[in-house]
Amino acid sequence: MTEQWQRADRLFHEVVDLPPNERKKYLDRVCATDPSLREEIESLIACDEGGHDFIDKPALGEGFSLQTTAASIEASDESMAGQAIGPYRLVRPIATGGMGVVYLAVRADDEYEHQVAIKLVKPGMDSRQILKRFRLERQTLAHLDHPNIAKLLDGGAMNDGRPYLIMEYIDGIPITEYCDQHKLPIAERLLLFENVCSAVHCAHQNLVIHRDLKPANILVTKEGVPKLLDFGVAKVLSAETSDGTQAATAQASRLFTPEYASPEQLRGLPMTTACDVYALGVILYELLTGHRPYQLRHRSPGEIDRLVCDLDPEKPSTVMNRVERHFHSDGTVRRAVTPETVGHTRRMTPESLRRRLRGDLDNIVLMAMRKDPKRRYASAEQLHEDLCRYREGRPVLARKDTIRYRTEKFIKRNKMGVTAALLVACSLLVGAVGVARETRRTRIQRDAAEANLLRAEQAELSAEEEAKKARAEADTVRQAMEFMKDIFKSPTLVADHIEPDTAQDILDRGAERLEKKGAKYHPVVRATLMDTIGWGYMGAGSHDRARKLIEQGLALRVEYYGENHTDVLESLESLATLNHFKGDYQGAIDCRRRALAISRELGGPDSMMLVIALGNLGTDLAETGDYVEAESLLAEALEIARRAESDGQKGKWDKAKVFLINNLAGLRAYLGRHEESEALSRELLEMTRERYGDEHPRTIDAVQNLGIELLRQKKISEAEPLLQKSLTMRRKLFGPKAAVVGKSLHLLALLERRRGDYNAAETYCRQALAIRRAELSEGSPRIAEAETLLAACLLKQDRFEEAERLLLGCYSVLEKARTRASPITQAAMHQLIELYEAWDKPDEAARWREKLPKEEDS
Amino acid sequence: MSTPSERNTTRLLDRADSEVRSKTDALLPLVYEELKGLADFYLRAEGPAHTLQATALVHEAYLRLAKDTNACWKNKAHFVSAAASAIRRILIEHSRRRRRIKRGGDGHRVIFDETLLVTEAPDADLLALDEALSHLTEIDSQKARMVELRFFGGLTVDEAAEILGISPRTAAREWRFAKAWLRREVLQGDTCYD
Repeated sequence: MTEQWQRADRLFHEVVDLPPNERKKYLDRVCATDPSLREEIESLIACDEGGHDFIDKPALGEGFSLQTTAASIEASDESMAGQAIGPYRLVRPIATGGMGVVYLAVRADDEYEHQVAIKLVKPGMDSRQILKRFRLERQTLAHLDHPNIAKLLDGGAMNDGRPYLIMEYIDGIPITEYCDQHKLPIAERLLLFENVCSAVHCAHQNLVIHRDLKPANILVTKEGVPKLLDFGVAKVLSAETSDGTQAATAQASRLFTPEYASPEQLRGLPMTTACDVYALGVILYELLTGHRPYQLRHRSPGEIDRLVCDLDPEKPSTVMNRVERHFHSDGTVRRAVTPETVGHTRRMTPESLRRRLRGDLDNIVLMAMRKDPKRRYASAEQLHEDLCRYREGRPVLARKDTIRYRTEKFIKRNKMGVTAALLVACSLLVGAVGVARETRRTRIQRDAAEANLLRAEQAELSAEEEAKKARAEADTVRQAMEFMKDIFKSPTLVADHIEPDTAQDILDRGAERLEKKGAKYHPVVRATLMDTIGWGYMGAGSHDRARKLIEQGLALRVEYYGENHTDVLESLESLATLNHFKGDYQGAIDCRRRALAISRELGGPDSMMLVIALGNLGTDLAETGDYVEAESLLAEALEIARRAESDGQKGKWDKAKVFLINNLAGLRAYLGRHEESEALSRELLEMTRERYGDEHPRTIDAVQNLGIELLRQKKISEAEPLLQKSLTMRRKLFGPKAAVVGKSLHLLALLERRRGDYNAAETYCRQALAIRRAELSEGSPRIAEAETLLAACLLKQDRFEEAERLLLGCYSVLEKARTRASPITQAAMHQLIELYEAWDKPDEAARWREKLPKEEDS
Repeated sequence: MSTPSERNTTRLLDRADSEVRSKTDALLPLVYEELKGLADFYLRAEGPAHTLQATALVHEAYLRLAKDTNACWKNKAHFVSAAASAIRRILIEHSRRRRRIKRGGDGHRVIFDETLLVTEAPDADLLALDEALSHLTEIDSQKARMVELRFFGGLTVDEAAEILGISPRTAAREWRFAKAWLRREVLQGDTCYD
């Protein structure tokens, strides 16, 4: 510091608060011999005067203060240590994380010292929500009984409302450090990791996803036992809402560790067991190679997302060639990770390690870490099993041709009819329990638990009763899971070929086991299994077996619950679907009537349940031609929906309304009530536009349906722009060859025919036909429909030979594929008769008239 | 964790300022590592939510460092002091990087980065301030540290006084002079940022 500077400093303060006049005088005096000093002071004072905003606000925003933050932590820590929580006394903090501080605590009232870990949730998190969630999860977590999982023992709130969770205390070190410290060779690392997989799988079976698996959460004790920490904690602490928006929150504050987070987790998508499988892959990567797949330190969230979501990780066998240096705070190298050190901590030479990793281990790790969750191992158990296979020298699953890929091929070959059956079969095929089904289960269970809680709160049930109920529910699900696992775990599934018959095999095995050991299971579980396997049979085309199981399940449920229960509704739905499948419409309608009666009883007069039952029965009745009753049922359903909506439950009913209005419009058109039908069609269009936007498939359907109604009323010029629009939009949305484009073209052909422009009609018709022939299999009524229409257009243009050829071809296919009695076959025959009459060939016409089924003659 | 007796050491700091300085210097790289993520919050430092997140990050860094028994620090003062410097360094580096990316300066294609989708205003000022502040450190390091603690650390004059081991009155004087001086340097634009 120069003397000049000190003088300026002093002088500045002497004059800065003086009135300008006095300041001037003072400076005149003091700086008489030093004009540069005076200049300096005056410029500083000028800057002082205008500088109120300059660097006054902290760079990181108003309210940011290192001092306050640090002080509040010190204060809270000091007051915390020694404090009692329940029967425990906090000893010292042992870990910190995004969610709070973890303390070591001892049980104060015991003779022996029982240690636990207590996680104090960070202030500012929603305490009420966390506690509620903890109560919901408590039973599930209590079931998490696995030697490698640290138990979550209890939870509660402190006097100031801050929630805490009490966990089993584990004295250990992170698995990666443990392996390196003990210089564990690859085989031992893998064995340790297999324990981790089985623990994670156990949690998944209990419907608990970890969401933040990382080495710091996998401690290995002195005895060499790995223990997983924090299971269930993420869920309890997350601010999850029913629509899965918690993911976005988690992403915003990055409560998880990005190094082990899957792409879908980083993208904020709902978390599934597949996230945990991914994290296991990363941990295995690190255990084997000493490196992490991505170097994410010092990267922005945007960069991290890009790396993890877009970049394939390097193979373990080559990444171990990487050299990484970790630095001390003073800049000296703390630790260097080189091929030699990595080999050394695994008691191998770099070259032998490389060879060891190459091939199977590369594939296993990378399969667990695939970007697309569907292409990873379907479960932690599957990963575990692959490691066993590797250990035993058997061929592993992880290849380029994945099991999921093969499953998809299998499904394509089988072309099962029912999506639900497909889902079930698929999730079961890929190993234990597939992701889709599991998340569904989880949701169902969560909803049920939530509903329970609500009921409990309303009725002020005791905590014990509530717990009992939740436990029963968890048991139900768990039993079901275990059963599924047993049946569907089959060596043939993991073999290289999955034969089409396998689905049948699996179902048979399930049914057989159910028959033999079914009594072991709770009736509720047994009935669920019967219904599920029944669906499976239905999908595989074994209708009789399906019927047997579904009916048994129904009987069991009625016996257990009585008639009025949602599970009974589920069975009836299965049975109705099966009947419908087999063409037994009356049987389907009987089921629907029964379901309607139950829904009236259970759901009450304004319930969604009732609306659905009415809608289903109405639709089935409409199919059998009972338009009058169908109309009255659908009208009742729509009225309920409208009433509920005007009561302020907007949005929730939209889907049901779209369905109801659409079908009701069609029905009223059949009944000749065209004005009402048109009004409904217009309402539907407006609604879908508002709800889904102009370009949504549902909106386009509504455009088309209004067009059809106008066409029925022969309002051709009004119908035309609508049908044209549906064509344009569908081409844009689905591509020029989509089946729905064919539908639009066909409708335009009908329109042109009605207008009398047979040439234009022919053009549309040929386009529609080309699409349908390419898309559909031979004998499809859609193709016949188009061919018949085309023939009609040709006939009107006196192109008799062409029309004849077309119709004869169409008929011969239809005759084989269907019966003469089928309406579409008859339509083709009628068209032939019309043709021969117009062609002036009365003998031919008479011959075909003969062929018509007898009823038609009368 | 600091014990009550250690807390009193902050009172003794004026005697051992040089010791604090060396501790701070040693601590700086550690704190720097922990606080790197703050750059993101700085860029969005609008509104209380971001300040809260920045606070949470500091919170965590503090606890993590406190747990590290090898850390060469004893108390809050060390942490605060080092953290303020670290924040300064982080923000400046970030501004430089942004400037470089924006210009495509190092020959790379300009890539999309969502962290760039913010106002550009503070950068030029911040870099100019940093330069002036470095200049000030050479002339009068106490004043420069005062600014670091106040502007980057968010401390009040009195809190900064305690860290620096000077009286609140002196601190206020230091601050006022430093502020006027820096403002002049920045306004004069000795360093021209386009």
